Amino acid sequence: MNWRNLSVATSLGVFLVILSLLFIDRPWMSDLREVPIYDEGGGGIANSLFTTYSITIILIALLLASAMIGGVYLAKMEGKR
Amino acid sequence: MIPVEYDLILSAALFCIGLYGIIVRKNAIIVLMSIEIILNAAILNFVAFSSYLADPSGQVFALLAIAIAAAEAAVGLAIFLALYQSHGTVELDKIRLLRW
Repeated sequence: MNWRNLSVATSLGVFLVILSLLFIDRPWMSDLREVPIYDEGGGGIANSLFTTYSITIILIALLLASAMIGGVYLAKMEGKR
Repeated sequence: MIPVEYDLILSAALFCIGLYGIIVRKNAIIVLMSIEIILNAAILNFVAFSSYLADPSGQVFALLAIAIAAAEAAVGLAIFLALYQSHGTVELDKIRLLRW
């Protein structure tokens, strides 16, 4: 480990310690609670996923399809150079 | 249950590890893995605050961010494959031209 890597690691370690002290020092209201996957009242993850964010699901599907096609195209373009 | 600050500290540690990998390492694949670690830190923050506030939107955004990370990894690896075929290396300090 050279001098540059050591200085980066030291500064990031100091940054992590400061962040941790900030997180510990803050009075949090409560502990973590479990969010239901599906809820009859509409408060679950699946409820939000397929009602509020349904357009986003379609956009993510289009993004994944275009990434797959683009990845295959980039990986297969060695004959053009 | 786990206190929320434990999750936040773990997320900050993941962020610092990813940032160290991006700054220090020269291999493009390791830099891509470091970017994925930083994305995972953000996703962990989403899930932690979603559980803290008992709001499912954060976990929905975490699922969407995982999908975006998968797409980013696929395109990134394909770009690095094309870079290796054109330059013969994926060391970032040896690849100085954006046009190849």
